[in-house]
Formats: sequence, structure tokens, C-alpha cells
Amino acid sequence: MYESLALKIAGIIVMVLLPPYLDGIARRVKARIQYRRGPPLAQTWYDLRKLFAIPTVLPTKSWMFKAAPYLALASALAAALLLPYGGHVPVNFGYNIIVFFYVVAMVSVFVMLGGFSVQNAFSHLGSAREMTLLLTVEPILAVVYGVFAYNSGSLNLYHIMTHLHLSASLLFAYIILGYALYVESGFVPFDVAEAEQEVIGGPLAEYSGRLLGVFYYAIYIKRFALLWFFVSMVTYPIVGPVHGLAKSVGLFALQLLLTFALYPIIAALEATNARLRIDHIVRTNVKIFFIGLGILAMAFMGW
Amino acid sequence: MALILEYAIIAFIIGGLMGFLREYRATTKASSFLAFIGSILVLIQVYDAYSKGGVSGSVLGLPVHIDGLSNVFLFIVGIVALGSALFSMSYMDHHEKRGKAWVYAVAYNTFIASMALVVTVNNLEWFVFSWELMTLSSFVLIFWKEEKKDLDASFKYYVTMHFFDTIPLFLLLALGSVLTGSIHNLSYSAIQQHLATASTAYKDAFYGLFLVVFMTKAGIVPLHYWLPDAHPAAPSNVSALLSGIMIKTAVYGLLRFDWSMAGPNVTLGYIVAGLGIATLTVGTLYALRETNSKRLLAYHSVGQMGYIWLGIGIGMALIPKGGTLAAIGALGLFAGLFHAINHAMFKGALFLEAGSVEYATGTVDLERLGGLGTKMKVTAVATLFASLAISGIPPFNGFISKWLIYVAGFRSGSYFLAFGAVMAAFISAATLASFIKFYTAQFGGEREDYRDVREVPAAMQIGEWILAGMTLFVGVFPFIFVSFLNRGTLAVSGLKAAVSSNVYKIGFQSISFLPLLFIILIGVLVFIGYASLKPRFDREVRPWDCGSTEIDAEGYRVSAGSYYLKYEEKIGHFYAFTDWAYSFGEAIVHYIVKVYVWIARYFVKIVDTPYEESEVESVDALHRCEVQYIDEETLRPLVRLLRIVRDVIGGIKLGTFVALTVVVVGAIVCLLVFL
Repeated sequence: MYESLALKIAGIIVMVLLPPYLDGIARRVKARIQYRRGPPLAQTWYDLRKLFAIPTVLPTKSWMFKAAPYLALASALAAALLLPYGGHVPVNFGYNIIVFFYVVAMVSVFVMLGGFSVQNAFSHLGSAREMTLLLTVEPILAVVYGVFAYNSGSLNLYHIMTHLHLSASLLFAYIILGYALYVESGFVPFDVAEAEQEVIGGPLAEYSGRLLGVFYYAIYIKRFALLWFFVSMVTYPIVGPVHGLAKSVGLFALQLLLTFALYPIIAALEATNARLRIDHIVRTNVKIFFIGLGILAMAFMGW
Repeated sequence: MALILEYAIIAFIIGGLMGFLREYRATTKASSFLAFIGSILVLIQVYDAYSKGGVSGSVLGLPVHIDGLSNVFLFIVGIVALGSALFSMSYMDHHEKRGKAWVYAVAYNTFIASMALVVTVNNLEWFVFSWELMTLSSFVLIFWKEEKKDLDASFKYYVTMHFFDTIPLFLLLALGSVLTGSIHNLSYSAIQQHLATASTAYKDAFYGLFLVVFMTKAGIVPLHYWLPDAHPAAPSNVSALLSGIMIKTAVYGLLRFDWSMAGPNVTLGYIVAGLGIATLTVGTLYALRETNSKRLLAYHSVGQMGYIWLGIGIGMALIPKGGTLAAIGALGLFAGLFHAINHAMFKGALFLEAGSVEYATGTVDLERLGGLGTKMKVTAVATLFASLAISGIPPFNGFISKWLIYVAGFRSGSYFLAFGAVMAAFISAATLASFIKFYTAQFGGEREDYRDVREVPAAMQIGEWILAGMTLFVGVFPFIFVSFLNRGTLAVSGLKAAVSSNVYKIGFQSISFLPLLFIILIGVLVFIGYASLKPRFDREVRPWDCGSTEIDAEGYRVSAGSYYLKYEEKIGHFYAFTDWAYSFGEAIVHYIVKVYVWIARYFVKIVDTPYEESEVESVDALHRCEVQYIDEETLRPLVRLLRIVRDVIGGIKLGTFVALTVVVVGAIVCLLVFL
């Protein structure tokens, strides 16, 4: 009882505090790749704190402009709350794979609604790109749902994590899941929506000060949630059903470690790639979708 | 004891009679009000039938039986008509210059009444009668504006319905009377009884003909070509009825005749699911590139209809297999029915909102609209609700039913149906894209040219909100509808979907969703976020245009047509491939018209009329011709004779006349003497 509560609270602390630090790790790694010294790990937190302290300049009277950052933050937190921390889910409002991805998509929805509420072509352009990105990722994720559901016999995340059995199609499904999550997180080379140098920040172009800070925070949490989901999907099936405090804590530590381990890889990928064009991304993702349908067929054939 | 439905129908009839009030506004308001009363009575009837577990009786002499299935669809009729009728009271003022209020009064009320009858009558003869009445009244309403492009749309609609609905339905009447041995014995139970022992050929004909009838009405690919033209042509309150209710009657028919009456058929199940997959993909991806708000919505009606058919197809294909698969099949059917209800609500709301924007600004062109969010706050929020609902964003109602369809598809154990679920999830994202565009192109940004736009009258806002509010209400409390919908699945398949539900949650087996908890969580998180990081505002500025002085503020945006241009280009092959459905539809209408014109010309030759010089080979050519009615055609020789007589007589002088009279009288006298 208490251990469950403790782990849930630990999870909440992690999801609230860790995401900006993860970004800090990424900045450090990127700097090292470029032979720079790099900022301190808490630099992203300092940036956010500074943004929170600055009042927002208002480019529109629209209420959506003001509400969107908070709704996005709430959605990102809700998505993170649905994930297991050491085998315990902080708030279980539907512990299944489809609900999780829909809640994650809500972050993008509010980013877009915020971006479109201003009369600014760059903002619109970035938001439309964000939607295009989502539009091409969603079918790939749908294929992954299909493989997991057939492989494990359910869409419930707990059931999936405990009932997956190894097969070729499952390995491929993990690969495209990782890819889809990477794209949905909007890391380079898939950062077309916010592309600073091209569309001056896209949907966030008109945001400043505190509201911008809230949006950044929401996006960091969303990235964290997607990564944590992947990490959980990797660790839980291997570790198996969680009983007892020691195993829970061990698993939680494992999740954390893997998250720390994966972030430098992401940062390295970011530092060594240049941004793709939106039509390149669409083409690649459509191809991967068709490959995914092949993988789904493999799953149904029992491979 | 008379059914409440009878009073509802009487209310609709009185509403039609309001056409006798001569003044435009009085007529539209009074008839809409009576339609409103009628819809409330319909909803009371739904509650009554639900609490009694089904009722039978007669409505104005028509045999009626309301079971679980009828009740689901009667609810759809009631709820959408309620919103639309309330909305119409003010909205119809927008069309005042067109006059013809009595046509509207009669057709509008007849339309709702006929749809209520379609889903409740208990006899094939009366079903066909109500169905045809529904088609006719909807045709009148689609054509009511009498604009050139709308005329073509309504014509296409009518020809299509005539060929693919009326002809198969009359063949079915014949088939039914052959089966039961009498044209006067076409009650559903009698047909079902005789069908059970009929040969497979009869059964296949029964399945096939009904499938065509309902495919056409539901706008299933490739017979959907009429829908995106017809629905936007009507006034928006009628579009809401067309998309919200009318196409659902086809779902009712499919379930009633092809499943409940003829028994489940696995092959047909896969066909229905396959048609559903094709329809949801084609409909929605076409909607994605549409920039006319009402056409966009009409294409989404096609797309969402695909979801419903997919759910029903999963049910039809899996239930006969028994065991766990049957449970998943029942879930598919349940989800299909649920999506029908949900689609009625959000699509009804969306059409009403498109109507509101049209009322306020006079246009439905998304390329030209913009910046209405600050001017029409109430409509904007209602649109946002309905848009999120149709995109399947939790916790709105569209999410729940789509989610159940995915679950049924992914768990079906069949690659084909799982593929359907994959496409459904993909298309859900496309729907989101399309509605982000729909919402933001109208309400996003700030524009000078719509500075004077004001919010629509209260009746319209309430009409919208009845439906838009329901999307959230049903999404948060889906449990209310579970046993109601399960009566429907029970009536169709004899199975209840094993959906577990209580105040907090809805779920199937090990998966569940707790919408109430979710919305509270989001609310709490927003509150915490807002309270701890309360926004502080500096000054107001114009949007940053990189310091340019040349850019005009109105044009500083991405127009609706360009949102997803890159995506549309990349999937261009898809559009090229599916455009054949349109040419197919156009070709069908063209050839049917050609046959009709040939028949007409044949008779024209016989009665000798002036059509000979003009080459009449297509609809356009007919438009150019002077209209002549059949009675004119027959009486024409006589009229011509009388004209000659008048001209001759008119030219005669008195002397000549006297002389002629003398000669004629003399001749008569001579004749008499001679005889």
C-alpha cells in the first residue's frame, strides 16, 4: 500500500522534475560532439525559470492563445501519469495503449490550436507541419497497436507487458515503434514544426515569456512520456510480473537508467543530422507505414 | 392506446400545414416550432419504449413496432431534429429572399416525420412508402434554394436514388410478395418466417438488393458520389438532418433487413467491413483537401459512415463464429451503433455551426473566412467541441466509439479486420487534421474584413449547443447509453456486447477507459498549472511579420487550401486512383439520363413537339429547353386548331360573316331536306 503510494509519488516527481534535465543532458552531449564545453545540466531549468518570470506579449485577443499552453501541459502530464513507475501507475484512467497515444496527441492538438489562434503565417505553417507529422506517424503507431494486440491478446498495457512473446514481427514492431516515437517527439531531423531557422519557431512563434515557458515545459514532458513509454515497453516484458518492493524499486531504477542511457543516443542523432523537409518525412513515413502493414501480416502468420 | 409517436407525427403534420400562414417568417418559425414539439414527443416516445422494453401499435393506421434497434435510431431522429428545429427558427430568416416558405414548411416536417416512420414501421410496404417519402421530401429540400449548382446536385441525388433505391425496393416488394404469397402480407415477421425456409437464391437476392439500397443511401464508396454535392446544397439545418439522420436510416435498414431478418452472413460481414474500410479512407482523405466547409463536412459524413459500417461488418463477420470471437463481434456491432449515435450528434452540430457562420458572414468558403473566434465565441466553442468529438479526442463521445471499434478490429484475430482497425486509427488522424483546418480556418487569427460580424441569435446557439453539449456529455458518461445500445444489439443479433460500464468507466474485458476521471484529471492539472504559473501579460502588439512593411495583415496566414498541400501531393496517387469513383458515379448518372432522354424523345416524336431542332442528349441540354408538361403535349394539336379558328374568325368582316352564315345554314337546311 505505502510502497505503491511511494512509487507513484516518485513517478510524479520524476515526470515533473526530470524532463528539463534530460534536455540538459542532450545539450551537454551535443556540445561535446561539437567540441564545446556545454551548459550545466540544469540550464534548461534556468531557461524555463527565466521565461516564467517574463510577462507575455499578446499578439491576439483570442482566448485560445492563452488557454492552449495550460491545456497542452495538462495533457502531457496526464499522458505521463498513465505510465508505470516501478510497476505502479499514478493515475489509471484507462491503462491501454490507444488511450495513451491519444492523450499524447492532445499535446500536439493544443500546440496547433495555439499556433492557429494568431494571425501569423509562420505560426500557421508550423502548426500545419505539426499536423502533417502527426498524420504520418499515427498509421505507423496503429500498426504497432495491431502487432502488440495480436501478439499478446489484449490492448491493455499491463497485459501486453506481461504476455508478449518473442517473434520476428515483434522485433520489427519495436523498431518502428522506436522510430514513430522519435518522430512524434519532434527531434532533429523531424523538428520541421518548430524549425527555428525556417519558420521562426512555428506554432510557438508568437509565444513569449511565461506562456512560451509553459509550452516548452509541456513539450519536454511529452518527450519524456514517449521515451518512458518505450523504456517501459522494453523493460517490463523482460523483467516480467512485478511483485514486492525490491523488484518494484529495481525496475524503477532500471527504467531511469535506460532513460538516461537513451537520451545521449537521441542527442547524438540530433547533433549529427540536418533537418529533413516535410515532404521527405511524409514520403519516408508512408513507406514505413506500408512496411508496417507487412509486419502486421507477419504477426498474423505467427512469425 | 395510441402511441406517443402518433402525436409526434400529428405535430409534424400541423407543422406542414403552417405553410398556410402566408408570411415568410411566421411560416418558417411556426413550422420549425412544431417540428421542435414533434422532436420532443419523439424523444419521449424513445424513453417510453425503452422503459417498457419495446412497444407496438399503430400510428395513423400504419403498423408500428419499436424494438431496441428502432429505438436507437428513433433517438437519433429525435435528438438531431430537436437541435435542427430550434436552430431553424432563426436560421431560416437568412433565406428570406427566396420565399417559398410553404414548400419549406411542408417538406421539412414531412422529412422528419418520414424518417421517424422509416425506423419504426413494421411492414415492408410501409417501409418502402416512408423511404420514398423521405427521398422525395429531402429532394425538395436539397433543391429548395434553386441555385444552378444546387439544381444539378439535387438532380444527381434524385436520379441516383431513383435508380439504386426505388427500383431495388420495388423488386424487393415483389420478392417479398412472392415469398409470402401476397402483397398484403409483408409484415416483417411474415417475411422473416418465409425467408427462413427460402432457397439460397432468394436469400442472396434479398441480401444483395438491400445491400445496394443501403449502400446508396449511406453514401458508401463507390456509390457516394451524390452525397458531397447534395448535402451542402441544402440549407444548413436540412444538411444537419441529411447527415445526422437520413444516412443513418440506411444503417438501420442494413441491420433490420440484411441481418436481423435474413440472419447473419459471414461473407456479407466481410463485404460490409471492406466497404466500410474503403469508405472511411476515401471519404476522409477527400475531405482533407476540401475548402468549402459544408462539402468538407459532407465528405466526413461519408468517412464516418465507413466507421459505422466497419463496426457492423466486424459484428456480422464474427458473431456467427461463436465463443470469444462472438463477444468481440458483438462489441463491433455495439461500437458501430454507438458511433451512429455519436456521429448524429457531432455532425448535426457541425452542420448547424457551418450554418451559423454562413448566417453571420454569408459564406462557407474556408479560404475566405477567418478571425471569427473573438466575434462568435459561443459558436466557436461549440464548433471546437464537435470538432474534437469527430476527431476522436478524449473525453468526447467520438473517442469512445472509435476506440471500441479499434478494440474490436485489433482483437478480431483476422488480418483483414485488424487492417480495418489500422486504417480507422490512421483516418482518425486525418479527421483530426481536417477539423483542425475546419476550426482554425474559421475561428483562428484576427481579421479586419469580418470586424462587424456578430454572434447568431439565441435560438441558433441553443440548437447548436444541444448537440455540441451532448458530445461532451455522452463522452463523459457513456454508461448511460450502454444498456440502451445493448437493446439494439440484442434485437439485431441476439447477443449483448459484454461492455462493462459504470458511472466512472466503460470498458471491454481487460481494457477500460475512465472518462470522468480523465476530465477531472485534466481539469485539476490545468488548474494547478494555471494557479502556479498564472499568465502575466505585457502589452498587446501586432503579430510579428519579420519587420516587413509590405505584407498585408489579412493575407498574412496560411489559407485553408494550403494546410496539408505537401501531404496531399505525396499521396496524389491515392486521389488519382479513387477519382474513378467519381467518374463512375458521373457515368452512371449520365447513362441513366441518356436512357430517360431516349424514352422521352421517343414519345416526343409521337406527340410532335418542337424539341426536334435541339439536340437533347444530356441534362444541360434539357435545362436549355423550354419546359413543357405532358398535358400541354397532348392538348397541343387541339390548342393549335382553336388558335387557327380564332385567327380565321378574327379576320372575317361582317358581310363575309353573314354570307358564310347564310351558306352554312343553307347547306344544313339542304342536308336536312335531303335526308
